[in-house]
Amino acid sequence: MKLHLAHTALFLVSLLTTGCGMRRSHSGGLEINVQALNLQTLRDFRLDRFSQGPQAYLVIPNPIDSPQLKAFDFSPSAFQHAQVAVGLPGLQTYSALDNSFLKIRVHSQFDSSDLLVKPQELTSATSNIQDPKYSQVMAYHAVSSISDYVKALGFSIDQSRQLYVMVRSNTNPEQSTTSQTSQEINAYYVHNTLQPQKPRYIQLFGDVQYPLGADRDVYWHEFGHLFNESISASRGIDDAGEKGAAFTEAGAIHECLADYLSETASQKGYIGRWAARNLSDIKPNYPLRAALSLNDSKNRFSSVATYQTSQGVPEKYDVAEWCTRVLWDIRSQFEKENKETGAFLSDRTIFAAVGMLKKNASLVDFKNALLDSDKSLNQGSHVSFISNVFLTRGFPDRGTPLGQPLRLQATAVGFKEFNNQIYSVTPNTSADEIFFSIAISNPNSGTARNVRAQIVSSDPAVIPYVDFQAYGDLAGGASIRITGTQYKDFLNSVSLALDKRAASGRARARFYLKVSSENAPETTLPLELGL
Amino acid sequence: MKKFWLIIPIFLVWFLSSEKQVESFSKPSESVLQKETALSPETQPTQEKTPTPSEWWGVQRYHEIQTESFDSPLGRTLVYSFSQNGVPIIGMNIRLKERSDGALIEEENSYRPISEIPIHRNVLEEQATHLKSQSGRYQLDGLTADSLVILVREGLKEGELAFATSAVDKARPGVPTQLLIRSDDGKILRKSLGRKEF
Ligand SMILES: [Zn+2]
Repeated sequence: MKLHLAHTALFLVSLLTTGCGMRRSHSGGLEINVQALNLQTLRDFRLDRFSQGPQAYLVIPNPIDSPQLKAFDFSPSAFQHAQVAVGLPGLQTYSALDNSFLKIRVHSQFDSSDLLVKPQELTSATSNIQDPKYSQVMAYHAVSSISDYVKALGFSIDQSRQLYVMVRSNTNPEQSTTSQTSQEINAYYVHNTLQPQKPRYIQLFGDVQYPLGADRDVYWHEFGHLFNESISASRGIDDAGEKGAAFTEAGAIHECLADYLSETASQKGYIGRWAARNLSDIKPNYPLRAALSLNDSKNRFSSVATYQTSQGVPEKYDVAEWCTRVLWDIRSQFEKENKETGAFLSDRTIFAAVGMLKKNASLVDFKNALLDSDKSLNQGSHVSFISNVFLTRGFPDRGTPLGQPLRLQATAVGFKEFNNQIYSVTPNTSADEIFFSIAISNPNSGTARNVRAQIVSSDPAVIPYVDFQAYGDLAGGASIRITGTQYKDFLNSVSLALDKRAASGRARARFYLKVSSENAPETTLPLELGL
Repeated sequence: MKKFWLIIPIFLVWFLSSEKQVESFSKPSESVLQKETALSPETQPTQEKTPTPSEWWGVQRYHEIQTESFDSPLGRTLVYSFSQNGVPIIGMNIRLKERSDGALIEEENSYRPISEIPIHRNVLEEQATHLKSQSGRYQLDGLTADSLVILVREGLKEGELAFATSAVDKARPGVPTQLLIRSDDGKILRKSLGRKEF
């Protein structure tokens, strides 16, 4: 009887938890959710078993992190010994490593065919790790494998446009000339938001001793950006970053998730140990960034996200690295609960949260999305753990409510190009771009969380270019000042241009500059400029 | 033991009230259904025909619709974007978010029935050539008349024809820039420095 009553109560509790709004789920309990994963694919992936398609021999993920190599060793015999067989599924042409979605190239979209690896020469292509051909094979393996991984977690990828991967990219991947090869050591993902007729690009730069193209982690990170845009259906979670903002929390979230995808899929908890060998400022054997807690300043939120007069706005990648440590703590908890499936469920919960983020999302939004995702997918069994992790890592959420609005002063400054020089001009229609000399101060004693400046206008005569910039957390009594005489002094400001044609004969254009934060009343400054 | 029996009716009341939340989330699908019944007698008096998205949202006949679908364990997002004569329209689309049980939980609709824009390819070729030849802040070597878009901006009733192109900004030559340039006067309508680094 007792048991019967308990069952009735439990049944009602389960109805209750699944019956509220977004939490309601057709599939119900945790076990069914696990079955929704493609566990066989995920298990094979974890064991680096990729058997479909023609076989190639690669050192995965890279020679420095390869489980086959105990110590870093560049000798030909050690390298050969460390190569393992991976299948390249879905190849569709004889002239390159291509299928209808993924196109692997060296310098540009229009490479000559002699530069490209043919599926029938996979063995010879992978004999030398510095050869761009080796990177092409790695690129195809990396992108196709991570794509299969996220599909097995239950997500789809935006394949509405092709994805070109350039393993030694020209600055402009649409130009086939190789004279433009960049000296930079870096990798980009380009979503081409404004150019709907163009494909998407992953561009890798640097013909260096430790080529980025030979490291699977680099592709997994860059693919992570495409994955973020896929989950969020290109809603613009980092819209401001796309428009040129120097810092936003959304930009940090984008990088955090790209790192996390690579770090969880490789089960390493860090990224870029191979690429970092090219960089003299990183100690030997240290990674570029780590989700694992290293003995550094990235463990606490206040040390990465505070606006400092000397250094200016927070560094996006520092905030991102802090964020990956939060996600890694969450992943560790899931893994503790179930060694076999925990990490997969953690990944699914974390990436499903990305689909809830709005345009220009904040870290508070991301935290709340993680909680909602856990409620929907795991019946909220990690809600208190997730909240605690943020707290333990020093995240103040919205912070303590502040009584006084932040103070804002702004003056428009015009810039115009003439004979290849940029000059300061009157801020009217004669200017190419109008910036704002800005002073924001916090008159409260407490810290203002996630301070942002924004142009707000419904006047079509105002064309916002960089319409949103964030500055991090501003301590009580502290100020942000953006001013100067040259164009480069204003890269942390917001900017616009004026369009006389859209003014319908008016002599002035009107708009607002708004300063907002998570915890102080908004400040709105009405402004107008002569056309 | 008695306390358990007290809790159960409370749970029931709470459960029923939270069911209403589900309905409020589903409202967009109700409105779609209402439109469906309202439209059927006018369009197909004798047959039961499911209205097309164009009918639901009053999409103009000269606007083509492209649909993309994105799956997640929490459900599906459908994005409808638009073009005219194959020219993509930027600045308006419709997004529907469905829960995994198929219920509609969110609808964002920025579609506007803007007028059809005349597209004269020869004029556009001339405009593109002219803009490329001008020396200004942006080097526009990659600009072509083919990479045309229609931009819809807040506060304007009609769309504007613009070339979408990569460019070199003389103010920041090292930073690849993408622009939307109004085709007839070269006004920069949107700028993007969008690329995500390693
Ligand atoms: Zn990145």
